[in-house]
Amino acid sequence: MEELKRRYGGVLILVGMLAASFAVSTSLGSVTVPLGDTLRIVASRIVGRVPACVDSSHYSIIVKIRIPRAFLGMVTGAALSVSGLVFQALLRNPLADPYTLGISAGASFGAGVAIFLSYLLRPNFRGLVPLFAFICGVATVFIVYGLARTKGRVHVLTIILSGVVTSYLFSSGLVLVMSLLGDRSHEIVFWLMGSLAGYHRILPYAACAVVILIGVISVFYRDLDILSLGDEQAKSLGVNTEVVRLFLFFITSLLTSIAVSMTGTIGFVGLIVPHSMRLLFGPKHKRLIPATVACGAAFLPLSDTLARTLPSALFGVGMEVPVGVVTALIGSPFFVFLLIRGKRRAWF
Amino acid sequence: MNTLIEAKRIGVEYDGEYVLRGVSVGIEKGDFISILGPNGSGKTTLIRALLGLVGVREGTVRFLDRPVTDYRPRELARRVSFLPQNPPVTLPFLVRDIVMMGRFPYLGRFEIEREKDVAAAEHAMDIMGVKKLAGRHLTELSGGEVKRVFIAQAVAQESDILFLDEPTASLDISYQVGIFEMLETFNAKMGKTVVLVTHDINHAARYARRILLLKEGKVVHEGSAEEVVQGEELSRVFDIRITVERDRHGKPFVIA
Repeated sequence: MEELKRRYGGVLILVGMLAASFAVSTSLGSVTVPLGDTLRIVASRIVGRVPACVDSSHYSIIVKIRIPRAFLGMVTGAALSVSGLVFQALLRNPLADPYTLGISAGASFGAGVAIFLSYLLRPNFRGLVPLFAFICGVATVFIVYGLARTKGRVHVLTIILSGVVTSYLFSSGLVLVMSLLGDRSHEIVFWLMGSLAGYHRILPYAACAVVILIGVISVFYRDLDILSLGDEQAKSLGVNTEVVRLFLFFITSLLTSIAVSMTGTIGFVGLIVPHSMRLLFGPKHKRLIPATVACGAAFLPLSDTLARTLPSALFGVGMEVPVGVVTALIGSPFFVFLLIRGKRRAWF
Repeated sequence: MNTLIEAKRIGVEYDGEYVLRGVSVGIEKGDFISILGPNGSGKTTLIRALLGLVGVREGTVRFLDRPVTDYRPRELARRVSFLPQNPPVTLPFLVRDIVMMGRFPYLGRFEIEREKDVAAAEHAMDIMGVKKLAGRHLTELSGGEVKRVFIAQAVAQESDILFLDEPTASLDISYQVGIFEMLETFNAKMGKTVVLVTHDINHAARYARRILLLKEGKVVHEGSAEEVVQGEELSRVFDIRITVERDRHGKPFVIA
């Protein structure tokens, strides 16, 4: 029993959290749909029938707005969290995440350029924003990796440094684009703050890609464990460090870029979720990867729900705060709590 | 004789400066070699070069007649294991998990640990006397226990060649002797080839069959303990007056 509890207790909690997050984030909002109705609607979508007993406006709110939004949150939450987890393990640095490595800045720049071009050339360029963001995000990784490579060797610390440098470079590029746009730059500002509000036709495909990429990463759980012992020991234990690192770096940058290209930059998820999971579940990636996926997928839709509902609940104003503000506001105190509680087992 | 690793006139440079130059070493099956020398004489670099962890600028390193860099890391890891100077201790891995990592070179990417992997890890922990620590976190262990755990990892790797970089540094005397006795057993009873770097001339003299004396990136002397552990030679290499006495086993020991 103890053994079962130890082994599956965490899994149950995470699955429960995920389900609860989905239920809450689909039923709460400017119009609150009773939880029972929400569940009925979700169930009916799965079965493929329209339920007779539910308010039809509720039905369309949930099906057309809330479910896609929660789904987007789950996909990007999982993608950003796993990206952070892998970057931290590959670079053996607790600060590594899509932001410190410049991928987010690169993707933002790409989006900014696309928005700029849409004003300059033709409005239908707007549809290419995610594509531009994605391409620039992935390109950034190659720039960062290339900068950190000297004489055929890649130094772990140099990657972080070149990530920060590249990040500054793209950020100033983006500011330049914004100043060129003048008053019309609000679109970029909104993009920079990150949001789950957008509607994305590519979401189902993106979700499939995210699942596949996380699957690929999962296969490397042992390599990730051993890499945390340091390159020399990893190599003498049989890990092909250079190849594995480059490969996982590339896979993970795809993962990050997919997330950022749909939602803009949402901070803190890639740091907070993996570190929390490490403190709760220990350093083994066999458990860390699923835990991080579940927690990231639960955390972001929940934060988004708070971002949508809290301002009106507290101040009675019908506005949304950027979801990144909420992730930071919940994330940082929780993180501090975990650090204090788990000091004995702190990482790095 | 069976030559396992052969380095011919190797040179290694870091940032344009040679830290090792013109070094030739042959490691035979069943050897027990201690590499001695002052700080900065290239001891660690030498074992890293022999393991292919650092590229050589000049010369060649061949493992079983093939350039060591031709081997896939997995392939090499089944033959050679390596204990670095400072194994990481900040990660809260369980001792059991650390030892199990030694099975990595035998496990396919989609394979889970088989019974024989578990058995090998258990056996390794048994030999190193860390079985009772199996469920403890690495972060809770003392320095001596950490070293034993990582040697157990190397044992679980079931390689016949063992490289160790200062396995006894900063350990108390009982752990030092314990580890050297263990290595002697590996060498004599289990037929493993042992190559280690140490600062402890006395332990090297007592346990090693062969000693390499390094100074400024060159091998200045090579041979049995009796041949290498000589007052004059050591005094010159370490720049301090060293006298050599005999212990009750008739082995040389030094007083500085």
